[in-house]
Amino acid sequence: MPVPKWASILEVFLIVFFALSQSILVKPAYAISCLFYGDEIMAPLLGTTTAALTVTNSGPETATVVKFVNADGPEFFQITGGSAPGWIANLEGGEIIFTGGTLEASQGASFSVQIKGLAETEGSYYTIDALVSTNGSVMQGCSGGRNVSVETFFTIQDLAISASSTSATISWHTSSSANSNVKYGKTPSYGQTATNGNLVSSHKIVLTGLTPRSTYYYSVTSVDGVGHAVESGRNTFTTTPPPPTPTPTPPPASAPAETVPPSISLTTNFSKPFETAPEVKGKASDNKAIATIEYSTDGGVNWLPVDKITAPGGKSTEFSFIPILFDDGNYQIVVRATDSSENQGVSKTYTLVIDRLPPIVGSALISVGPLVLTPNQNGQLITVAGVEHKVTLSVAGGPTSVDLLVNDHIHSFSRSSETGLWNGVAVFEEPGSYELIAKSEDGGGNVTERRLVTVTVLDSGTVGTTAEGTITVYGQEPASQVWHPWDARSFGQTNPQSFRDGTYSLFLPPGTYYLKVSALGYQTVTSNIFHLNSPTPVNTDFALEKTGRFNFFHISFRSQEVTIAKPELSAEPNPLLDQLAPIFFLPALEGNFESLALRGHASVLSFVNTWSDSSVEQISILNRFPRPNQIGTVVVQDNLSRVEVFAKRGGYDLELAVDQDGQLVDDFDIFTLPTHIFLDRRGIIKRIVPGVLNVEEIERNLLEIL
Amino acid sequence: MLTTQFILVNFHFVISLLAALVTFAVAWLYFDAWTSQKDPKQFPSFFGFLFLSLSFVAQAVIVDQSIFETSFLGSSTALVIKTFLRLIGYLTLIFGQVLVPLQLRPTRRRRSSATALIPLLVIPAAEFIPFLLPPLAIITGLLYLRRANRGLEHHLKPVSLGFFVLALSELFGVSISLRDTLNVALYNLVTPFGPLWIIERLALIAAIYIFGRWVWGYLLRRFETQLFMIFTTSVLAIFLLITVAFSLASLGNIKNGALESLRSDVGILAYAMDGKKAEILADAQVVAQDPQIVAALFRSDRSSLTDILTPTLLAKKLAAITIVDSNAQVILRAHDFEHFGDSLSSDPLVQLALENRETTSVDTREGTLAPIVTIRAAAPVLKNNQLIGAVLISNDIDNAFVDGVKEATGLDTSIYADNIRSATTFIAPDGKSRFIGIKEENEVVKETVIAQGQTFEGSVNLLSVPYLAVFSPVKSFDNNVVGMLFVGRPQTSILQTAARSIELTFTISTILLVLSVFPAYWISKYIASQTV
Repeated sequence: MPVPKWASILEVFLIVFFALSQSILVKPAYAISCLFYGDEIMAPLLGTTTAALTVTNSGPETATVVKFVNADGPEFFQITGGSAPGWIANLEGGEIIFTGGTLEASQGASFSVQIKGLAETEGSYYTIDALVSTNGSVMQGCSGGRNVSVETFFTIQDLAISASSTSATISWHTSSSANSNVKYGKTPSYGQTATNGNLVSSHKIVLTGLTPRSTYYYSVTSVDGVGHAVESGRNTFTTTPPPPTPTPTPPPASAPAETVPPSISLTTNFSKPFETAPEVKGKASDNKAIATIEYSTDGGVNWLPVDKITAPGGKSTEFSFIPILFDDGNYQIVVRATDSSENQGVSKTYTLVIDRLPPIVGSALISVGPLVLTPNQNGQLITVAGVEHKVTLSVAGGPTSVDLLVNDHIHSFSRSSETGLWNGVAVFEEPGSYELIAKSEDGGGNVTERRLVTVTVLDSGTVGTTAEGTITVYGQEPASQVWHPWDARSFGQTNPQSFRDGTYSLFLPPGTYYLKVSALGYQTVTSNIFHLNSPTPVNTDFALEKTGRFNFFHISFRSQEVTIAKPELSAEPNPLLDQLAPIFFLPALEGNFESLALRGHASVLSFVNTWSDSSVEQISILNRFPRPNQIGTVVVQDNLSRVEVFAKRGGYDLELAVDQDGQLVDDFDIFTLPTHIFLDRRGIIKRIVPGVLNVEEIERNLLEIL
Repeated sequence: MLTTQFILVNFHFVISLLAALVTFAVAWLYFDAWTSQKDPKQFPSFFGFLFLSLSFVAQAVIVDQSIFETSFLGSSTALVIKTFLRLIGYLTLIFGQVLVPLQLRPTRRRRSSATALIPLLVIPAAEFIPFLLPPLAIITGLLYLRRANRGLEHHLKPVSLGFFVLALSELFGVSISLRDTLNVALYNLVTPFGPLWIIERLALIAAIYIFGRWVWGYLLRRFETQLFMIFTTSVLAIFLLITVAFSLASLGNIKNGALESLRSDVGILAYAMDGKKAEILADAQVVAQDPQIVAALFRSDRSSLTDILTPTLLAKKLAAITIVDSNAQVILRAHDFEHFGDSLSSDPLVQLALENRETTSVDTREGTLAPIVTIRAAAPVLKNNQLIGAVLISNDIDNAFVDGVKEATGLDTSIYADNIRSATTFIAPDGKSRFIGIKEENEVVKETVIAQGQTFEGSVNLLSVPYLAVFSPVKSFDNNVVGMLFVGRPQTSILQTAARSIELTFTISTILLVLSVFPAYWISKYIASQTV
């Protein structure tokens, strides 16, 4: 039977096809290899070391690309840069790639690579691997590797900052001599530096030319004589408002006959703190006659005449006054005297410390832009990394400094002279759990620390690549249903947001949104449309896929669902639960309030203030509660007169007790206001609920604890 | 963006009325055929196209609901009327096609199977009716095609094609039911004035062209009809021109009117602030001249001052009343009577009052989340013409104040301390909170209002929402700009106002247009009769 002609043609075609496919699919044996051995690299914790890495080409071909990679991920150390003579270094996603040079067969080359330690590696080693290539397309791993360990060579201690309106003094100690460097600026990327090259263990850097009422980020670094460095990490401080312009003294009508100003001295000893304002005494003298003597308790901004001048109009006189000071604090006492020729002499400034109480941190208010964060039922605050949080604290006891300690970071606060509250900024850099501790110090040297709250920072959303890219939030205008890029700036965020190592963080206010994720070389992914009814962290993981060769006109109807973060939270019971509530007595609008009055029936003790919207809303709700004998309302760190006016202005019949110093805040472990302590009829704490509760919710809680 | 939407609304109106005209012309053709042949079988086709024509008239007055809130006809009245007229139109046409026997070619004798389709056209639930329109249009087109291909009426091929293209337009029109999707790409495709919306109208234009070209050839064959169509088309053209021109002029007027209204609104707000300043200064004067207060201050009798001034503070709903002596030492704070004895000598208002001058000013002070704008006034206290102290009164311009202005005037306003929003009547999307503390970062606004102290008028984006806004400066007693007054309306709401007026214009124009058919008919008939 003759073979058909078409069968022969097919046979030839198959043979050719097979040969071609073999030539394409079967890769040639790779002819390059290399060696990468050496001693362990010691990287300083939060500092950078430069390691000399030698790679030997053990293959027959010349290598033109050398790459060093962190083989164990970026948790413990990072490659931050590098150089080598004749090579061009390029840092990409934690890897460093050297190109433009040649590494001949059987030859070695040395590369300088900077390694930054991020977390101590006690008992464990982490590795840097080397890879080489003839053309960059296929990288060949080298035999061996270099172990990296991260150690603390020396530490930064006692980091402290004192900020005024235009300057700040940063001080710290190091356990060995090192230089002093401060990076600072109004953004997390700093932008300015201040340096002192002297190797010292006690460091002090003064920053000048700052803008009043602004939050600055700063980081201090010290490098010792052998190149080991330590870094504090990112901290913040806030400059104070500018001082009021002193009242200009009108020039005399005619030129004075003499120009010698009076001299003044104070005889009161200000070296020790006082519990109440002391009588301040002093002397003033002039070559002609003392006309007036005035004093100031705020460094010369406002003035009052002294109470007593023993020899008015005389050349020399003694004077005395008792400043009226109610609150703890450091007061800057200055006295000025004016002579009969209008010459004015001013004393030096003395610091009068009134110290009745140690500093007591009351409540806190944490906000992201205009959004106020409220703890959940477990007393935890949920937020996302990388977002600026404004923290407002009420503190009694006249502190001179308040710092917020967030794990290893310090955020220094400044006091608003108008509200009396302390304000600062905290940024949580990484996902995890953060303990917020307020550390305050008063003029009497009393230092108190109080744990405020645990902040749970959710894992950042991931995009499945470390390539450069952005995530853009679009919000829908309710009326027209038109989509606009979301205005993130008003909420302390950016939009579009660039990825940080393939991650992003968003904290969105209520509204309707969708997200668009784009990265170079990857297909753009769009989320579904989603609605938020309350301020919510968004950390959906996206999986970007690489762009194909012919995807120029790619239109996709696929959308990825946005999951709203609901973290698994530890439900550790509050140690106060099932404990007998402390018995206390407080002044109240209608006399005194006794906590014992709440016994005999289920009751709620609500802690509030008069300066936050949520507390005012809560007071209004409590005022409508039908059984006032079951509720006790305590206003924290306010005085009775203000609360009385507040109650009258709001028309509240509610009995408001006043804890002027905030002594109960610690007893009941209160962080935010309002907070409700539900007590059973024996006075045992059954529930602690933060946030605004309506009448029905209060009723339900009371019923459930009966 | 909004102008584009506006042009598209007019585009929709014009297209719909052209479609109504063309389908009416076809209906007229069948009517004409009936008048000449007296064949009642032409009736279904006549009524079918007439219903289609009326459905396009109804469609013309539908201004897209999702953008322009509710129609004055009711939320979906026009849409329901249009859908049912269209349905009846297609069904009548199908009925007519089945009713009129096919003019069969001599060689082919096959029984029609079109009647088998009829039972499928049972009346479904109302919500499915829009989904029926594309298949009905296709069936109508198929029946015409059958008549052209299998019968002898080749001239009906363009009609068949016209229905197929119309079916395409109907198909894209169904996309309105997908607007609740959570898929962004799909949403953007089916959104009002989106790609499918435009394609739907473009397909309709194509159908109009096909029908129009076909019918025009026939209508011009009779003088009377020719006259009638010329009259009708001329009337339509004039109506369209006038309506669209009026709409565009109306939008311009409404925008200008809105801006003018905002300008006057910000004036009202400034007037309210000035009124508040005058009121507080008057309060300060009344307190300063109260003989009991003068006597108590002279005696430094804090207790009496407290008894008198605390009720005053509450009755007048003031934020603070402070009494100082001639040394600027605080004798009493009625709002915080446990704190006294400090000096306010650096306060410029106190300084002026102690120089026997009454002053009022707007200032800002720090708040918890945002700075607070406050109105303050100071007046000297005299006893026997001797200055013995001063009264300092203040009140906050807070949310309660702007709410009060809104209650009295209906204005949505915001107050800025410098460029930070301090108080506002605008409620956040959660329905209860207000976004205060937000910074206005528009460089033109900051330069015009805060740096130059002038009023800004124009478009701004607030939290990504485009507003037509007026910002005017708030100045302290020494003429320094300390904040801004804002009055604005979302641009969408301005378009909504315009849309309401335009919808009315469209509806009246459409009614007049329909009515104009009758005089056009009679005139053309009269002229035709004169020429015979």
